[in-house]
Formats: sequence, C-alpha cells, structure tokens
Amino acid sequence: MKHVVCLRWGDAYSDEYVDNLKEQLDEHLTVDFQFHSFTEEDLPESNWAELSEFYQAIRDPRHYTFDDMRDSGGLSHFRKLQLFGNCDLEGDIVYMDLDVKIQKNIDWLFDLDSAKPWLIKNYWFAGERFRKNFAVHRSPMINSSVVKWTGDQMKPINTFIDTNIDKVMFTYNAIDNFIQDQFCGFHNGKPHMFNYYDKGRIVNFSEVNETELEESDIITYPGLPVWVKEEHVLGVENV
Amino acid sequence: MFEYTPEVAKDWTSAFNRIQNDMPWRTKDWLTSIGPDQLRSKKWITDTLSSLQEEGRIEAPGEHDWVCQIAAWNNPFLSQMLIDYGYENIVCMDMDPDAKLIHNAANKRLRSMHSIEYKTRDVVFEKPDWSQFNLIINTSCEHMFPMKEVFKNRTILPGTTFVFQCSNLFSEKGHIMCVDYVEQLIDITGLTDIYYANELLLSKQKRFMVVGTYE
Repeated sequence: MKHVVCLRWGDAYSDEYVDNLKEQLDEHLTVDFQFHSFTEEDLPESNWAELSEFYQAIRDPRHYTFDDMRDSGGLSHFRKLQLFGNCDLEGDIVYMDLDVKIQKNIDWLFDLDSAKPWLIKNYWFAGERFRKNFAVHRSPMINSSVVKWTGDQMKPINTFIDTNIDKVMFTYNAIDNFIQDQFCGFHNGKPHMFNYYDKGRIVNFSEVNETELEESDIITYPGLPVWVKEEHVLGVENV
Repeated sequence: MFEYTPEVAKDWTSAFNRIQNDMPWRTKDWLTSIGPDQLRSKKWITDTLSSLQEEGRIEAPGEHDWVCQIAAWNNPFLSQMLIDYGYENIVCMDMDPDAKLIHNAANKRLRSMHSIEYKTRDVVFEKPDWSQFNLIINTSCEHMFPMKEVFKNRTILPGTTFVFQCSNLFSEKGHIMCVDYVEQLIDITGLTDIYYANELLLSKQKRFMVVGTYE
C-alpha cells in the first residue's frame, strides 16, 4: 500500500494547510494512495517533549536570539522523527511538511528504490556554505520536508535518540542538522543511511532561481515567515 | 614559548596558500587561529602545566606518554608548545575535516619529526578510546555537551590530567555551553581533583581554564 502522511502540532498550521496538501495530492499524485493526517496525540508516549523543554529551558538565552534559535538545543520538530519511526503503516510511506507546494506529477516518489529511505539533498549548500557552516549547525546538506521510506526503515533514528537522548537534545536544535551529522556521511565518512532525490525535483524557495522554481516538482519553504507560506502555498493574497 | 622560526614560517605560508586555493572560506578562521588571543590562551596551558610540574602537582611527560587535543581546530601553536613541554606523541581530534587539512599543512615539519596524528572525530557521539592518554586537553568546551558526561563511565589511565578551557562569548554561532565563572566550568567538567582554575581576559572574551583529574 502507498501512504502519504503529514503531521500537525501546536498552532503554527491550521487545518487549512492539511486540506490544501490533500487537494494538491489529489491533483498531482495519480497512484492509489491513502492520506493520513496525524496530530501530536497520535504520537507514542515518550520523554522527548519533556527533555526538549528541559534542555531549552536550561540553555542560557544569551546563546541565541528570537530570530535564530539554532543554538538553543531542544531538537525542535522532533515530533516528525517520532512519526517517522512509529508510523505503524505497511508499505511505502511519503511524509510531507504542510508548507510544501506541489507543482507537477509526483508519482515518481513511489517508484523510487526502497532499499534506503529518501531525503531532500540541499544541493545549493554543497561546497563552501556546507563546509563553512556544518560545525555550527547551519546550512545542513539535507532537508526533511519530504521523506520517503518503507516499513520501519526510519526506526534506527528513534533508537539512536533514545540511546543518546541527553546528548541529542543538548546539542541540536534542528533535526536536519542532527540527521546529517549522525546518519549522513557528507563530512565524516559515515555510511549514508539515505538516498537523495535528483537535483531539481524538490527545491528550496529561498535558494534557487525562478527557472529552477518553475521546473521543480515540489517547492519547500523552510524558515520563511507565515505570510510567505500563506501567499505561496495557500494562495492567500496578503496586502 | 612558541618560536616563529623560518621553518614555521615556511609551513604557515604553505598552509595559507592551500587555504586560499582550496578553501578560501577558511581564511578568516586561519587568521583567527594564528592571532594573539589564540597564542595567549594556548601559552596559558603549557605555562600552567610547567608551573604545576614544578610544584610537584603533576609529573613530567615521559617518552611514551600521549596527549590528546579534543576539538583541536587548525592548531598552529599548541602541538609545538606541547612538544617543547615534553610530549612526543600527540593525537588531535576535531569533527571538521577542513581543520585537519589546515593543521597538517601548518604542522608539516613538526609531523615529520614527531608522532602527531589528526583524527576526524565527534567526541560527544563517537566515544573514542581515551585509555592511552596521559593528558587530555579541550579548549572548546563552549561548543559541546558537558565534559563530565563525555568522560562519565569511560576508561582513562589513572592520574590522567585534564585541561579544559571555555569562553564567555555567548553570542558566537555554535557556542552552546558558555560560562561566566570558572566555578561553572569546574561544574560542567566534573573534575574531582582541581590543580588549577582561573580566568584570562582576552580582546573579545574572557577565557576560563581548569586543570585537574577524575579520582
């Protein structure tokens, strides 16, 4: 079976985003699939939320700013990883952030080799930006806005976190930096746990030119303000 | 004291050429790493070790003793200083492969004469084997999970001396464990027998250092 899943927690995204994602999938995904919209109530009980809050609370706030929380710890968006590792669905699963814009047919996502899970590679950071910034947890080479996996392929990440929970929550604020450092070998020679979608298929709105945006199948909007997402993903006209 | 000789100048020039050609984004890093604050904070280490040795608090390094520098970064000064102090066997570790390339170029002559190895390691998550080292130095505690947790339940040689430095430069990117007082550094390192603890005022920050061991 083929599944597309999304996750909504907190108050950052309304149901409108869930409905919008489903509408986009109905238009651009022609294979038979089941759509699942999860909330944090569907996630397994664990101490992750408590420890995330704890490690952010004990971090001296002089380490970060309101606009740049990347040195605050707490592994924000850890709920995505909880979902990936505990989805309890059989077959191929594609996760999508609620703030993605699907532009073209994406049946190819379910044709991908299932030997490894798949992630977006931030090709635009390769070279200088990645090598300059990875140690300070900026410019990660991967993005988890669209993830494809089969069965329990993502479970090792949850096991790793459970085994190293304090280190992970203390060290990382962004899950993409965490996944890159511990499961991808871009700088440390570790085996890559993931395959990466072809360049140009899924792009970051802020990092590519207009032609690349037009030619892409999916656009992601990481770190951008709400009004940008409303305008580009929901089609809201902001004055 | 670190001596800037023609041989050092040759290696540093070569290192800088390599940085400019292959990794120009590291130019500022390199200039910082050879700056006066770096020299002062690294000299502070070997001066303190020498004083502690004179006081009989620690033993002089032996021919077969090993020192490990965690988060060694470009490290243009400290390996030479540790060799002058008496160490012949040095292992540097850092998670950044660029730093290894720069270190190896900047210390080319030194590496040809002494046992200096540079490993790309994330010491927080990878759990290296610490049991061969007589002296372990980390001058980057502000970047990392507390050292008391890194060394908790790990095998170390009896009497291994630890040198930890940390900064109060909270606003720097990647700094996640800065401190305001040396007592805080003692707390996050968990050292149980303190030989030395103090602070040093540098141009943009205060650095703190504690030397001691785990009983």
